[in-house]
Amino acid sequence: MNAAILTSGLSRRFGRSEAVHDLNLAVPVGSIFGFIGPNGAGKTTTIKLLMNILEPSNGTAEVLTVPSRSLGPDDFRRIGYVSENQELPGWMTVNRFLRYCRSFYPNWDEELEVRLLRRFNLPGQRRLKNLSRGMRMKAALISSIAYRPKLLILDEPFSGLDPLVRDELIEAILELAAETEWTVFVSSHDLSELESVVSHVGYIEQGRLQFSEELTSVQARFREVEITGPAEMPVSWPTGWLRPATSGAVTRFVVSTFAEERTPEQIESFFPDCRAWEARPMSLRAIFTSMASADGRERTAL
Amino acid sequence: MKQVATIFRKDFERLWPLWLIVLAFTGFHLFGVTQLGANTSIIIAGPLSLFWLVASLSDVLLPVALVVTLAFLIQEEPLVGSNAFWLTRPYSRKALVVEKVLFIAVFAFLPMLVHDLIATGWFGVGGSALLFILKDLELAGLLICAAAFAVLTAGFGRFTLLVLVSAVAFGLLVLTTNMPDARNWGVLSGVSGLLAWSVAAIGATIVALNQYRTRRVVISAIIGAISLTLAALVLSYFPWNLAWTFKQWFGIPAASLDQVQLIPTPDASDAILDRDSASSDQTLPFRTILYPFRVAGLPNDVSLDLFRGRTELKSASASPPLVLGTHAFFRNHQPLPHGGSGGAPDKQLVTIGMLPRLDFERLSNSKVTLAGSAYFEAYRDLKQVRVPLPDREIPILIDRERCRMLASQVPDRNFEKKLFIHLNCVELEPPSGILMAASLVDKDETPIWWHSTGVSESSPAASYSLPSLLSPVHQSSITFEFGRQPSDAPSIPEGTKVIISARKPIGLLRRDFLIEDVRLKDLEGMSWKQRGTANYPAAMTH
Repeated sequence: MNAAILTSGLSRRFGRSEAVHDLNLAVPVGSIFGFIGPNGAGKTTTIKLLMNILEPSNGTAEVLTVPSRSLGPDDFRRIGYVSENQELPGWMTVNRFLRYCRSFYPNWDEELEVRLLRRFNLPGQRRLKNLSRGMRMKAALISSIAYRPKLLILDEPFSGLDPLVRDELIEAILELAAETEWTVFVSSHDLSELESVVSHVGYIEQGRLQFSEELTSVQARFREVEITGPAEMPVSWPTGWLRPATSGAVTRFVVSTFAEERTPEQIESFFPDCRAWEARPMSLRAIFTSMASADGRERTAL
Repeated sequence: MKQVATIFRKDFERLWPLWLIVLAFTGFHLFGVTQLGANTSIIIAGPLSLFWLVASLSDVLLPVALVVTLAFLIQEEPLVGSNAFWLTRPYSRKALVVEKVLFIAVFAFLPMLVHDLIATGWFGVGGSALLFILKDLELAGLLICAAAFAVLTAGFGRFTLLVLVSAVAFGLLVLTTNMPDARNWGVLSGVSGLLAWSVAAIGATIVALNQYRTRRVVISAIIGAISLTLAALVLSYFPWNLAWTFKQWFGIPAASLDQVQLIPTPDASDAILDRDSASSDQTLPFRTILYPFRVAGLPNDVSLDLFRGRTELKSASASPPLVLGTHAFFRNHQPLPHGGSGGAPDKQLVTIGMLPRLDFERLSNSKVTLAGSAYFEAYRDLKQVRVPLPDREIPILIDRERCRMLASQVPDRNFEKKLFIHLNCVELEPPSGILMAASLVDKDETPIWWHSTGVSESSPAASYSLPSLLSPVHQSSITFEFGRQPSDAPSIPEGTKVIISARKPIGLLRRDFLIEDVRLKDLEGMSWKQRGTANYPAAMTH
């Protein structure tokens, strides 16, 4: 696989706590990779390690085949980066800011810049510090995609934005993805929006990568199963079945290893007295929620 | 290069208000150097007092403004923390360093160069390119130290805090590890000051470059701490020794130095000894131990100040030996040109030290040995300048120093009239360090014996303080204050002349002495007669 991002045993400690532990991640070239996980899971730290903002305690990371510690000006001309809390030079006007950024990129696409400015309806003469959070994020996004990078890294870009702005940003990314050969690596909590965008997804929790695969594959193997009828909870619980809960005659749980040829049989063997059962596809948000609330043993089983 | 220009333009757009402040303070500083008279307190009373106050404070305000500008300049792209905006952009670190250096060159050094050219031109002292380069290096030393603090912090608040904490730690380290003698030289004086400055600047350069290259804050901070500690230790332990050694190497010519001897003169008689009668006051709890010495081999135009000494007073009845501090003024053999009391014979009583009366009485009948070392500073007397007491500012030239002299009579706080003679002198760096004395004579060359508490030395603070750092012109302001005028005297006699005489420190000298068989004797008033036998052994070291 051609990887835009490749990490091997990547770890980062802050004092005694380990923010990222033994991360092995491969982001395929051309993918839109959603990097999800609860707060404090290590998403931002991972991104900072990838961008050489932080130094790894252990392991290595390659970004566009360049070791992260060796990323230089030429490499950053191929990488766009926008983060939730990115400090922009607030004293600059939007136009001045883009003019300043433009000078760093020989392949800056002024036409694209103008198009995005119009699309986002940004006031060019206003200082960045006087813009709303959403406006600033738009300005940051323009400054990071107007040179058509090979890899765009977005760290919680939609956090705290109103739905309208969020949609605008997502539409812009999708539109550009259609016309540009690039890889997008995006971490976000806005899973419902992310689901419509990403082709791959990785889930990280407590600094450990739980899984990383194509979204379709994830959606195919996660099912919410509902058992109706007298059902006794089995003594031994199959690996990859999460969050069993019983309410009256209904038992619900999540199967993270659903397979048409195997799982129905397993269900019937574990619940022989059930009247009916149904396995429903899950949204990314539901998958995220079930993963986030699973206990350590269940997650290890994944 | 394009990137350098881009960042430069951005930094200028961002920092031009600070630059204007730097320019303003440079202007004030230039005004202060060229215009402020010796006695600023008089001038400050004028209508433009605030303007002049700022000008006089610009010695401090200008370097502070430069340092603040530098801190903001560097922290535009902070090397600490995770300011992703610039860390993830295609900045070339080399271009960034070049831009910062260029910015400082244009906005700090260029105005300073113009300032220096105007300042030297104003006083007509000229200035070589080498001098300006040396001054620039001094300024660069200050700024690179500030840069080291800026690259180790993410914001101006933290920068300020780190500077303050480091300054306090540095001061404590210097003070707690300092030798007692070192304080005689001031914290940043002479060679040790330059050496310490160099150590700090080299350390700061390594810190700054390491941060721009690797952004490894801990390693850079350790390097910085080691550099500061080394600089403090240099200041703590070496001021005496290095300054001493270098002054001996480059000071008074070796031939003259070798010939100078310190010889005890037990045969000294009343006629040639000038002694303070108070020293034998019976009621005092202490007795002053005096002994006559003469200095042989001293060139006629050289005088010696015995500024420090250590004498052990040994006796069978005094164990352990009593240690006394020796001090005396060993003036030139020649009388001072203006006939003042400074003229001294070649035999002089040296104050060996103060002895408690009980010890003195106990030792009075014993044989005592005096052994010790005397440390001299040698001075060469320079030509004197005689000018009529000026009624307006007049220029005079004393050695290398170009001075403007002004006399003023103003009442002091007790409304008693005093005469002030102000000298505002300049010379090119480094300062020659000449010391001046002033006296008044009437038209018949008779000294006018107003009590003078004249401040006859250039301010040491001016010699090594920040104005010296920021200007190629070393300026010294000297005020001679002539005290209360006798009520029956005319205000100032017609035809009064001012005599300014100057002497220049030219080196240090140490002489050891050993005097055996001394008998302590309580003497009265002005009488002096050496009792007992003083044996000055041939093996005495020089």
